[in-house]
Amino acid sequence: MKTEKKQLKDFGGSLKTLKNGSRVAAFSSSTISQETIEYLSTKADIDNLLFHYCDFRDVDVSNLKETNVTIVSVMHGNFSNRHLQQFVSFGSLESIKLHDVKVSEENIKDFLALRPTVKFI
Amino acid sequence: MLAVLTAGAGTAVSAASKSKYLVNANTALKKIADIVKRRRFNAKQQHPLALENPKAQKKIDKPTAKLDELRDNLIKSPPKPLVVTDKWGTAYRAEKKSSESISASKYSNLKKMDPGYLAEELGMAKAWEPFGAEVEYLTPEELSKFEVKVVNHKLVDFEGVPVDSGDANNGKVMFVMDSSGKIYAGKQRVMEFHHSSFLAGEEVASAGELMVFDGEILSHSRKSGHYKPTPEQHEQFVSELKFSGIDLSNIAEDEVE
Repeated sequence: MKTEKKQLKDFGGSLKTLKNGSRVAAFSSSTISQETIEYLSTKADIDNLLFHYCDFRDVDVSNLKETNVTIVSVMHGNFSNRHLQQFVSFGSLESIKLHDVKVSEENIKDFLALRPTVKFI
Repeated sequence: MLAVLTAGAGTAVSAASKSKYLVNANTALKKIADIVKRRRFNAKQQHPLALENPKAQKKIDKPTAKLDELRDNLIKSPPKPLVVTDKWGTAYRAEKKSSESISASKYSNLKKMDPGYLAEELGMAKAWEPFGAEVEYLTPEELSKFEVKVVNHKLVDFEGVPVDSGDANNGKVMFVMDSSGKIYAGKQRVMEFHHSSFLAGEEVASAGELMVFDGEILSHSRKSGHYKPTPEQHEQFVSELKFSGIDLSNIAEDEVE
C-alpha cells in the first residue's frame, strides 16, 4: 500500500518566509497533536515556530529539541507551564515569545534557572 | 428670533470645527503611517531578526528605537475613534463617507482590540514580535465583499452564495459584527488576515468563529485572540442572527479557553 507523506498543511500549519530569509512554521486555531510534534521534529528546514490560538491539550512538546528551531512564539490558547518546562532540553532554542498564555512570571523564572541564556521577548 | 439665529449659528460653527478636527486628526494619522512606512522600507534589508550581522543590527537600532517609542505612545494613548454624530445623536464611522456605507449604531456594548496588536497593519505590533507580521486591514470598499447576511434562514455571502467553512483552516471561518449589527466573515490566514482585518482594528460588537455547511451554522464560538469578546457580546451576535432568521438556541456555543 502506498503511504502518502504528510505535509505541514495537513497539520493545519503553513510555512512563512520572513524578510531576513528565516522560515516560520505557523499554526493558527489548530489542534496540536503528538503527531504534529513528531512531524515538526523531523523538519530540519524550519527556523522558527509560531502557534496562534492553538490547542495543545495533553501534548508533550519536548521532542521539538530534535529541531533547529531558534525562536518559538506562542499567542493565546492553552499553552501552559508544563509545556514551557518541556522546552528545557530544547538546545537550539534562543528566544521565546509568550503572549496571553497561562504561564506566570514565576514559571518563567523557574525555566530561566535551568536555561539562563534563553531570551523572553 | 435673534436667540434662535444665534443658537443655529453656534451649532453650525461647532459642527464645522468638529469636522475640521476629524480631518486634521485623519491627516496626522496618515502622515505618521507614511513616515513609519518609509522608515520601515529603509530598514527592509535589515530586519531586526538579522542577528547574524551585528553591523546591520547596529544600523537599524536607532530607527527601531524611535518606532518602538511611537508604538508605545500609540498603546498608551490610542487615537480616538473617528466618530461623528448627527443632530439626532446617531453615531457614524467618519471614514465611511458614502451614504450607502453609513450605518447607525445598534449595539453599544463594544469590545476594543487587545492593545498588543496596535500598529499590526504596519508590522509593528508588540504581540507579533519578533516576526513583525503585517496584518491586512480592509478598506470599507474591500469590506463589503466580506459581509454575510441571513437569507431564508441561511447565512449567505455578498453574492448570495451560502457560506461554507469546509475548506477553511480547522473547518471554521472567523467573523466579526460591527456596532450596526452587520456581520463579516472570512478565512483566517495566520500573520496576514485576522479578526482585526475586517474593521481595521476598530471596536466590535462581537467576534468569533463559525462552522458553516451550506449556509447552516453547525457551531459557533467567541474565539478571538484579538478581541476576546465577553459572553454578553457573543449574545448580541446570537440575538442579531435570531432577529434575521437563524436561531442558535439549539446549537451549543463552543467553549473558549
